[in-house]
Amino acid sequence: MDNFEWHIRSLVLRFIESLLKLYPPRFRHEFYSEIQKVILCRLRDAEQTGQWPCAVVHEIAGLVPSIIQERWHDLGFRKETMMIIANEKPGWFFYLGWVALNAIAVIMAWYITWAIMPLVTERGEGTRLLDLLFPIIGLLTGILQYILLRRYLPHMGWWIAATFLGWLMPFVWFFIFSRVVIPGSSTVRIVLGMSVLGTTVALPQWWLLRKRVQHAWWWVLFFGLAWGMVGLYDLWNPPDLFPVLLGFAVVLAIATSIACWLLLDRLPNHELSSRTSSQ
Amino acid sequence: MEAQDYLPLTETSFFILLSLATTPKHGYGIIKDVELMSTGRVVLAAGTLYTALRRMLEDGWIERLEDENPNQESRERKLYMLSDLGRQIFQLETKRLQSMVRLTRTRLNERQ
Repeated sequence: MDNFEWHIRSLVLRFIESLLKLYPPRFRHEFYSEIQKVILCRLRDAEQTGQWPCAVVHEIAGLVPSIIQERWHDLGFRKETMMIIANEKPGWFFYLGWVALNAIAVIMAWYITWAIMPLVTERGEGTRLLDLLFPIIGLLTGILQYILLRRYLPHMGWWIAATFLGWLMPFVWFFIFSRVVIPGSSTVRIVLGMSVLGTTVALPQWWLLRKRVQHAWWWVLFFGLAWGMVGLYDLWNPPDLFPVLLGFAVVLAIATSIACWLLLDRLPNHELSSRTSSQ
Repeated sequence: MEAQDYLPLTETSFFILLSLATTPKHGYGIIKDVELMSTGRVVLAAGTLYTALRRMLEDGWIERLEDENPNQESRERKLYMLSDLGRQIFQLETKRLQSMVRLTRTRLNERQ
């Protein structure tokens, strides 16, 4: 084999290698080394019979439709598995981490807000604490929740944006519905008002979740309930906002971790067992 | 799905099942066997073979085994064998083809 021929052959082999890399990851993981070995064996045998060029053309002609077919199949598979049924279930570490990180995010947001507050108020007079606190909570919880969730719900990059947007919803709510009157005593009004606010905060996240898990509305429900529960602070009349915020952080973290358990573990398991029993 | 629902088979699927009907084989073993059986008429490309094998594995027609006697060459390879469902499908398809051949012969004999 002369030098030119050797170069051509190595070029062809590299081309085949790069074609093989076009297979979807799931297929590659299963068959890459096998298929590569089979092609090499085939080309080696064809070389001995002088049919190397024919074998190359034949293999490439076989690879192209196969790659398209596998890509198409993978699209369908990904669509199916977007709704998780028997995916990896989170362990206790996830729930512990979830509660801790969510609570920490709210407390961190509190201190960051107070640190930033003087800088902002210097420029714009009358900035309220909540105007800064809520967006910062949204950003921090979004990032921390995403870090935990991505293992169980892949391709959830929009989660951070959805959480951030969600925490801006109370401002939208106040802007549009500031004159809505909820009847009852002040505590009832606060609880109901907080529940409604909590529900609106959870809406952008629900929008993402509904494509990925079944019964995603549980997320909104638990969010609303948690916010409503925090509204009970009115019964104790706390002197300071920080204990309320602390309670809020813990209640919300626990409520959303229960929602996570329902959506990622309990409901998929239930779905799976009912499917198995019906077969 | 019942075995009947998968019929009729494509030629590629039929030859792969036929190749695996006797003994488990490696990917390249299947290619060579199919080429030999069809006297060179059907030469499976690796891509075609593995797409078919993936589908058959997913549908439960075949099973994948670790090679018990791996050598330097077959270290990366797996053996494929027919599952019960695959064998059932293969037998049904064979019966279907047989009945078609019988029918064709009868009809042609009637005309002659």
